[in-house]
Amino acid sequence: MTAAVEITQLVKTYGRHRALDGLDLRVEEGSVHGFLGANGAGKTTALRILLGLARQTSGGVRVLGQEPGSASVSPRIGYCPDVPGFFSWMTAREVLESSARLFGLPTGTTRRRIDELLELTGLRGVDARVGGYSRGMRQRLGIAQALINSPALLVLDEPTSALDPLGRRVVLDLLAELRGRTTVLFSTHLLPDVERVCDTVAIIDHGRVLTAGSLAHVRTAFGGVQARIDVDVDDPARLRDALEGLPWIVTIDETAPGMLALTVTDLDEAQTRLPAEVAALGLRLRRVEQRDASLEDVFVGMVGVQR
Amino acid sequence: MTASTALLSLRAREIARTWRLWVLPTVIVFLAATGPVIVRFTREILAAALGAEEAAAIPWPDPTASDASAQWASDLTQLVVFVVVVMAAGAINAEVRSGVAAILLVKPVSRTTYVLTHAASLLGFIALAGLLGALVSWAATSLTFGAVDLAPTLGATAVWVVLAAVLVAASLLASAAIDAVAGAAGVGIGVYFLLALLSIVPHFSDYTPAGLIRVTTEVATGTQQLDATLWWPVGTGMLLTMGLIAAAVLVFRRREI
Repeated sequence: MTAAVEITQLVKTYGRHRALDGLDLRVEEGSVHGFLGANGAGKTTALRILLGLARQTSGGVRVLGQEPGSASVSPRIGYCPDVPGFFSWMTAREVLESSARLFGLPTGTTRRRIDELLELTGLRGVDARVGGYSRGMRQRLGIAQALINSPALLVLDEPTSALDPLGRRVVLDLLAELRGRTTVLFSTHLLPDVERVCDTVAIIDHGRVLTAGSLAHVRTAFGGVQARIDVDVDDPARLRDALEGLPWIVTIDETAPGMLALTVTDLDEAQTRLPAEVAALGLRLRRVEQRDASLEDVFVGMVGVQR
Repeated sequence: MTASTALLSLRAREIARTWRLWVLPTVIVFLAATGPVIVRFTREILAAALGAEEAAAIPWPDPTASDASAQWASDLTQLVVFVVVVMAAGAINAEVRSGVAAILLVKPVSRTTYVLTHAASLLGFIALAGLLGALVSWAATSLTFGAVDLAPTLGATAVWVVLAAVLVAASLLASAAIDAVAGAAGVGIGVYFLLALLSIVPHFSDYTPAGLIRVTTEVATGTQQLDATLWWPVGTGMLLTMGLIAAAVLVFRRREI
């Protein structure tokens, strides 16, 4: 497959701070790619560089096969920042009309496209000026203007962060619909959004990609195996203390009184060793249950280990 | 419609739909309309303020239409320039800070176009406001003092537009380089005072943009000849404007949004 976005060994420094520290990223054409990271991980910086709004200190960036910000790339890109800025004196329709003019869209196409997008984002009939919009309305308008030119690459920075559940669902459904026609790259720290619509994902922390690939690959390769144990004890902290530090344990979380959720590296070893550890403490093991790792498990495990 | 014309049209609508439309023309028209009246009735105003005897003791020549034209030039070069600077100082950095610039610049809009459309729309608007002011000033002077020639008022306003262009370009450069609107306005005002200071240095007033302040008044009063002492300040002022705008483009092309 061809890459819509290809970033290699991207470094961005601000004085002594390395916002990006050798970031590698490849987004295949037509895919919906989630760019996951905690606040300050470097997501927005990377997006700004690939949009030509900022320059890298070193490393390579190709967007749709071209240099970021080049004249042949910008007509094929749509972008919505996390807090989109608009001229406050405009209405939503005027924002979209002026965007269409900047892209040189024909009048007929513009009118039809604007009606579609206003309908889609729930802004049809809203005649108020943008200056009076809520953050959620601004974000919906931001997404609409990013789609006005039917872009080949849609870059969204935290696109659902200000939306209510209904608005969020609309946007996620829209992104899913674009699959195959438009490459979508969106940054977020909302893991359920990624699990719902993304084909591929990259987890970034401290300016570098910790893991990337298909959702299934990331879950199985980096999530380890989840084993849930239910212990009947007054003081589960004792078992926690005993298990912490064992080489086959990744994480231990108390999910309910007397209930510990473990992430383990080797399920066979866990099933063999766990009963012995429990017995050695004089506790009774009620249940061991296996479940698939979620993206959240992977994210918390990887980013938590890094911090 | 190309991206450049679309952006220029956007800038024009921005001026028409925001405070910019009202502030500069209002200030200019107010000064243009009241200036001749104040000049004509200065003696009466002083008499009302100080008392008739004390006012009469001040040797005060009879006001003329030329004094009204000089007042118009003085209003332009000493008051309106600050409005112009404030308008230009927030043009770029305010859009960068609000996120508007990022939304525009990921579209097929080059950074050069972005800066040039700002400069063109501001200068066009200032020229139109200046023309309006000149017409109002001429009409008010004619009504107050009897029929006067329009040419000196128009000529002085045209020279002032060159001065305003220098200040707009300096403020735009600062706006492209500095995040704070107040800081950029400070640079524009600083350039104005620098020009005013340089204008008292021998030769600077004759051969550099520093002479624009002097020339504006002299054209208004009809004491300026159409010779090198007019064209040098005007020509170097236009060159400086182009240089400053080019510098603003270069600075903005390197700026991270």
